[in-house]
Amino acid sequence: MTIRKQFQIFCSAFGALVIISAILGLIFTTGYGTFIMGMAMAILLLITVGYGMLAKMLLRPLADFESIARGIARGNLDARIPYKGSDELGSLAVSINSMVDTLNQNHRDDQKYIREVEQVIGDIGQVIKELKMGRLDSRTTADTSYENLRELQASLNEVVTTLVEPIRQTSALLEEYAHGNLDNSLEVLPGELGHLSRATSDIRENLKNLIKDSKVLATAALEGDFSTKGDINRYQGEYREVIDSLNRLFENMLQPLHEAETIIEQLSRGNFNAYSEGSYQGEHARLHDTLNATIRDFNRLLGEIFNLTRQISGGVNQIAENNESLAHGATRQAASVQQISRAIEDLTSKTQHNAENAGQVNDLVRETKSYTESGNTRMNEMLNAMGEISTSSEKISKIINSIEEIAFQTNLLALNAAVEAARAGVHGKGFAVVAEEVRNLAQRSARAANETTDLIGDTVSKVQNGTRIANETAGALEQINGQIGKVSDLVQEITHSSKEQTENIVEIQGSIREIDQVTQENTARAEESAASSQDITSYVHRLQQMMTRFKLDSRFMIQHKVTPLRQQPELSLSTGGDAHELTVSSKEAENGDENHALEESSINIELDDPDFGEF
Amino acid sequence: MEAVEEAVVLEPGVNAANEGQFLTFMIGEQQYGVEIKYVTEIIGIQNITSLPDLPHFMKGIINLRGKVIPVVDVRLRFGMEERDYDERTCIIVVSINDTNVGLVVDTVAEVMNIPEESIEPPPKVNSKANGNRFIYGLGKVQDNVQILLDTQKLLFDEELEQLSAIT
Repeated sequence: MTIRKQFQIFCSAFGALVIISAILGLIFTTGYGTFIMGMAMAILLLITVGYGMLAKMLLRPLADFESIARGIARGNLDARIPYKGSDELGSLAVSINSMVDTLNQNHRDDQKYIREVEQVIGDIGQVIKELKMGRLDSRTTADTSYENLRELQASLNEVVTTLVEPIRQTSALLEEYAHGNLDNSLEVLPGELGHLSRATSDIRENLKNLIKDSKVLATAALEGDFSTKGDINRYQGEYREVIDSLNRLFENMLQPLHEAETIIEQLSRGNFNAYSEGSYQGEHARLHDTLNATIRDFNRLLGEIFNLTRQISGGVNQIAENNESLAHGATRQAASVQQISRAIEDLTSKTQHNAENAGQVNDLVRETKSYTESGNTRMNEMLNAMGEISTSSEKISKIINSIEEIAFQTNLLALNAAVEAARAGVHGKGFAVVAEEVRNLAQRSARAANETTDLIGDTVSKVQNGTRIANETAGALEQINGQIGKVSDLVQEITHSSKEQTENIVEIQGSIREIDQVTQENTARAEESAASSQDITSYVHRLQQMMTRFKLDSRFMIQHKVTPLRQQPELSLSTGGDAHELTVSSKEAENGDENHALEESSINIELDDPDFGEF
Repeated sequence: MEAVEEAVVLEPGVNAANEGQFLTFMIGEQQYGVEIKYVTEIIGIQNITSLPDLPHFMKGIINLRGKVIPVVDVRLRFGMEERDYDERTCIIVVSINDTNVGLVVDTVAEVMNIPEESIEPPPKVNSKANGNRFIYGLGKVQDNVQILLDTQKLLFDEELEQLSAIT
């Protein structure tokens, strides 16, 4: 029995049951609630029974079918549905099993085809890969039993050949273009490939035009003509930009050249206060910078030359004065050397005279020594004589004492006689006179004796004094003797020294002669040097005049601290010319940080000098 | 001796020639004078023999040609400072009342005449002292003053007696 019939039976049974249940319910129940309950119970019972039948007949075989089918779908073509029934499911199982068998057969055929297709596709992929890598000779060669695949391979190879050939031609042509050979062009290709041939032809045309225009422009530039322009209307895109760039390049090249020309013209006229002021880039900027740097260097150099020239001028003047005074001094020196020479000659004779005199003095000193010694001897003899005089004086004193005694006695006798005479009175008068005379004589004798005693005493004291003096004299003579010895030594030294002096003076004479010669040479040199410094002065003057023709940047006219030759209070700037004037230019005073010291002075030299043409 | 006696004899004298004649001698710097009539002799200094128990001005005795004569040092007699004797020291032998006495003086000067009118009496001062008792007068000779001695008074009586006793 088929499932459809079973289901029809079940549905019929179900309907009948529901009707019966409903009738029963309406009969046996008093209320709707119970009726509905009974209906619901009957329906529930029928559904449960129906499901049990459905599960037994349909759901289990379907589950088996489903699992088998899932296995087939997974590729398990060996699975077979084991269901052996006579119902629809059984025929379904047979159909499915036969379908699986068919599928198995088809699958094996498909597998073979797919393998060959894969082989062909892999070969094609290999070819494509090699083509991508630029191996254009690569073609498909795989064997296949399928006609369509062989045709596909053949078509593909033909297509590749059709496409590769123009590429090869184009590349060869482009290689020729790359090597500058633009003579050949590609033959006209069919279809889309015709774009390739047209494009190469356009490239060739554009290149030819570009080259031609570039040649024209380069030739013009070589001939100095930067005004020639390329026709940009003939080009499009980048080519147009190339020619446009070339045109702008020449324009841009022209601008700095014009400015440089202007500046160089200024420079050629001596105006070094001209700078390139445009704003440039790259080589032009370098040209601009180099030009400005060169001008600055020239300014610096010329400024230093100018300053140095001023200083040289001052120095040369100083040198000229110095040379004159040197020449004057050398002349005076020569005169002085002559005087010295004469003085040395005098000195020589005097020294020789001194030496002779010293020799004579030596002899005299020797004589004096002997005299002194004999004087000493004489002095001793005199001392002895003095002693004898002393002795004699003592003897004389004794004699005089005797005389005094005699005089005293005589005086006494005379007095006695006078006394006697006085006593004799008148008679004794004559006798008294005699006594008086005797007494006078005695007193005169006494006085004479006294005087003699005094004289003798005086003599003795004088002799003693003389002895003392003679002793001192003797000592002095001894000292003189000793000193004369020293004097003799000294005089000998003087003699010796005089001889050495004579020799030295001879050397000095030689030196003086050399000095004389050198002085004369110096004089000549100083005069030559004076003449040369005059020449230099005129050169420097000319140099200054030349320098006046340059107009320099004021910044470089500062008095640099060049080490001065000499501290010269005045640096003559206006040595000659009334043709040049010095003016302060503050034009450059506001650009640059070097300007803080620039206001001091700057010198603008007029360019209207008639001799400008020489430079 | 006879001469002395004669001189003494002659002394009351009519012998005008003797008047005003003085023998002058020196004591120190001062010149003194004695009347020449008393002078016997002048001798140099002699060896004086001292005698005991005599006044201090009595130096002793000398032997003059056999006669012993006492010697008075005039300096000591005048109370002056004693002085050593030298070769100029003299002894003036005077005769007073027949007695010979030697007067030791520094030295003898001379014999000179001094007129009566040139002699002034000694000054009357210090009457109590004996200083002026030997002075007979002051003789003015030229600018000098000679102290003229009174030979009689030069020796006191007792002294003279002693002198006499000695002789």
